[in-house]
Amino acid sequence: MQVNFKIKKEFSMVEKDPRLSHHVLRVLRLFAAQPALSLAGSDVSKQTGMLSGTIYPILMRLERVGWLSSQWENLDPRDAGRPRRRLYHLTALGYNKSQAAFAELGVPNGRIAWNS
Amino acid sequence: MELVISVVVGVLIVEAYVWLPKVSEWLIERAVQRVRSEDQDRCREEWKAGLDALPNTAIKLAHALSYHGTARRINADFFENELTEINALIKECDHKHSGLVVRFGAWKESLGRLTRQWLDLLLSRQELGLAFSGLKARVMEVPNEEVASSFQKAVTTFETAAETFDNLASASAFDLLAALLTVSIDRSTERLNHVKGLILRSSEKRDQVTALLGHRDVSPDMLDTLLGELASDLHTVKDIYEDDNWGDDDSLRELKRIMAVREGAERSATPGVS
Repeated sequence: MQVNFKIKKEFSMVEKDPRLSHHVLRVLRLFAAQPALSLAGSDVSKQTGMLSGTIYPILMRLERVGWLSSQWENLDPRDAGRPRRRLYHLTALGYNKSQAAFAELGVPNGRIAWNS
Repeated sequence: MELVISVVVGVLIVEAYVWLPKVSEWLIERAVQRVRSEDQDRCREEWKAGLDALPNTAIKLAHALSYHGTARRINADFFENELTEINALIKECDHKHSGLVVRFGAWKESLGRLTRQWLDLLLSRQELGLAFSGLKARVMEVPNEEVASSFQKAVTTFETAAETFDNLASASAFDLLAALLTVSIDRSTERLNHVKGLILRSSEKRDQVTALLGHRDVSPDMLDTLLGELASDLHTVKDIYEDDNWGDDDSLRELKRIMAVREGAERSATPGVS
């Protein structure tokens, strides 16, 4: 029975849209500004000023609904002298959804007036 | 004295800087342990790499402390989504159940109507038979050969039609099919009620699992397992509803065919009576 449920999950990647909190919008704005770029959680934290414990649930949530996709860095930690990072980038769905969200909220490029 | 204090403070600071990284790693590991098993390896590697990228020990500690509610938020997102899917499955099963209830109602109504029409047909066949028996007797008494010949033709037409009527659509075939359809509907109704019971039990289980969400003592893996079993049960129920073997469309079609044949044969016989 557990196997059946896991198989079902693979086919239910598209889920309802996530709640667009202030923090989520800030993360989306960062990715939407440079859609071709891949960012690690630490990059997002550095550029938004948010703490890691806030960032990672948002990244996982956006990945689960298909707005972001992620993969491990292609490097050998021993050669690089540091652990490999998980890199996220905006999908086409994520780009369209974020643009639609910004338009609906009346915030050009996700820049909220009181925090611009 | 001031020198001693300075030295002690210096030593404490150095010791703190030695221990702080271990504290940070411990905080992250504590957060990882609270996430579902499936996500733990990834989270551990990703979060530790994130910590490694930070510039100094103090900032690392601040970030490590921020992981305090992270597992709860990640798990809450996951289970909220799973419950949404389960609610959608329950709604779908309810919808299919309602559809089948309507279908069974229509079958029962059709069967009732056909049975009433069949009885009417049998009655009119009997009346027609009696009418022509009367006519047949009177034909013998009519002196006019031409009139007698016309009556005789009408009687022959009726007898031929009646024979066709009786051969093409036997009462026993109709009765048997009607009985089979009744049994099929009754069995399907019983099965439908049993399946509805499964949906109700799944709904109760869903409510129990919902109540467990957010409980500190309940592990996310246990919730994952419960939700997995619930989803699997609902998929099984959904498959049962989609099974084509509900009721008996073929028997109903055959009943209607017999009825049409009888009606056609009766119409052929009727013009002979005037």
